[in-house]
Amino acid sequence: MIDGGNNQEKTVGRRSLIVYACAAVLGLCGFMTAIAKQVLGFISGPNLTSAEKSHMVNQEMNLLEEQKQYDQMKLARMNTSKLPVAKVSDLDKNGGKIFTDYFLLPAVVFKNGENSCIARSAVCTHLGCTVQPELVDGKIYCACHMSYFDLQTGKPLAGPATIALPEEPIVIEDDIIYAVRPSGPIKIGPSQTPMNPV
Amino acid sequence: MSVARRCSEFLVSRFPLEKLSYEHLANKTVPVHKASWIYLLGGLTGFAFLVQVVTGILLMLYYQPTVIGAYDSVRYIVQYVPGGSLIRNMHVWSSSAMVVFLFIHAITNAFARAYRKPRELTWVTGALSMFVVLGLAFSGYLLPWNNLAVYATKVGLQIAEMSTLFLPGPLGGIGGQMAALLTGPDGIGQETLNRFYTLHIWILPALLIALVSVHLLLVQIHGMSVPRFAETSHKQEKFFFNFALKDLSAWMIFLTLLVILAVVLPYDYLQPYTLLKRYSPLAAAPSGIKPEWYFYFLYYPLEVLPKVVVILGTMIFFAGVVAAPWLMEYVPRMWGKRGEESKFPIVATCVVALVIVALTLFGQNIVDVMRGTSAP
Ligand code: HEM
Ligand code: FES
Repeated sequence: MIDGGNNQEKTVGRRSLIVYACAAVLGLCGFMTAIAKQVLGFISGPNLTSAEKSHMVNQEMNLLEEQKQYDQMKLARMNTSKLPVAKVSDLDKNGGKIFTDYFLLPAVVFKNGENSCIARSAVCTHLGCTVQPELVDGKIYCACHMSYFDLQTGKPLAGPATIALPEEPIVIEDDIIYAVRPSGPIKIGPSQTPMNPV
Repeated sequence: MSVARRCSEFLVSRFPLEKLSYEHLANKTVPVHKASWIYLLGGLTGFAFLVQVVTGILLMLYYQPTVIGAYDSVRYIVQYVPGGSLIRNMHVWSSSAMVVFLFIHAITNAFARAYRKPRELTWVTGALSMFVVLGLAFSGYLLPWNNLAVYATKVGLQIAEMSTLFLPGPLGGIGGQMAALLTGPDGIGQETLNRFYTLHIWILPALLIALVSVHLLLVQIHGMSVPRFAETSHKQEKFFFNFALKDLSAWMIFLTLLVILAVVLPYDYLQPYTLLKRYSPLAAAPSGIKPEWYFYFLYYPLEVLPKVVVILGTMIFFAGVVAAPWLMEYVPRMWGKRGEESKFPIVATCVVALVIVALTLFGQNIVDVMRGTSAP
């Protein structure tokens, strides 16, 4: 069989070899030059104007500031039994606020009537997206796959989620809402949130 | 015969290393028949991987694997670095291309039944490398640290955690522990990014190279298989340089199309703006969070069917893919046919291919229909 193949190769093979060789060589030459030029430019990096540079440095400093606040919160949660997370006056009838709780997971606090507030885990029990900080028709809403939860009980009302969003303990002193440290040791990790049973 | 003896005989017959000579390589031939284009697909997959390695190394010059810096470093590459948009989009598009080639490579080899003795291990190493490729895709998706990236990862980890809950006793926690190992001790954050980055640029590529090396070694010593329809009548051509040039021209055509695609269609154009905003732990998830398209075949069933069914089904399916060389031979024997005569391998391959393609293309529609009017 191999021998037959070799005969074949002498007749048909040669011509197609030339065609393929030409295609490949042409492709290679034009293309490799263009790509090499791009790659060299890429490695050398950009020439930024000073406006662009200062814009970038400013942006970086803003981010560092945000990071600093987050780190301060992380420190505080290790040393205190309550964390300031929002101001009552910042909330309105439908607009709540997302904060980071003692488990380093997102939670959300809403106004509940005139003078009280209610906080729930913001980790959707469906697949773990963060729920919206705005109520929709008085319900907590996860935009990821459109699950709705009851504000008072946390129970799922519609959509793919099937279990409740747990409440998180808070206290209000003056205008400040504090998350209260849960009793017992705090284990951090994805398993800390309830989710749909299988 | 003792088990050890049988194992060693299996290995010796599957690795006839005496065929690994210079001579053998130089005189390598490739069958010529109606379907010999399928021999191009392994090489195309490998070439797409090469593109990934080269563009990936270039991206590493500017990408910062930090929660603060990742998002802006990607912006910087795309906006300021000369050729940055090209390199990044080549990396993104070529990853999708690699999955496409891999899929066609696996399916065509399944139809050609190239997994039959003595090529079982060629198939097994290939199937394992498919999982590594999916891992590479999953780990790479997090790196831009935008909403889409972080929430898709959260959802993925949540699914990993749920995946073993139905198992009895401590086994049920395996998924959660895996998710915790990937997440790191402080929840989704810097440690998570470190872990995904390490997997993405080093551990998984190294694993893939190791697997593919064995794969190629086996391809080399066994030579190319011939599908049944061409077994009696086909010609051979030399690998050097007849087939090698076909390989090379296929790669060049792919590279050309890839560059064109990367220039005219930056990947970000396809995503809604809200999904591409920087991830903030204090903001809600926007709608439209989805995994990459090649995970749809897992993701959409998960939305409508009971999770146990989907997760068990997926595990059995993946195990079945790895074990296909034996399944295709021994399952037909249950109704008294030899694998050779049975229609089972072809039917099974058709069903798998159709289901995967249908879920990938029409997953969203299927979910909408099955949900009916349940959305409020
Ligand atoms: C990164 C992943 C992979 C690379 C780089 C790769 C590369 C290759 C190459 C270069 C060949 C020889 C040319 C060809 O037949 O196309 C080959 C053959 C083969 N591959 Fe792969 N492959 C990969 C994944 C897979 C997967 C996922 C499967 C199946 C599940 C698979 C199954 C096979 C088989 C059975 C052969 C032998 C074909 C024959 O002898 O006719 N490979 N592979
Ligand atoms: S994660 Fe909230 S609905 Fe899916």
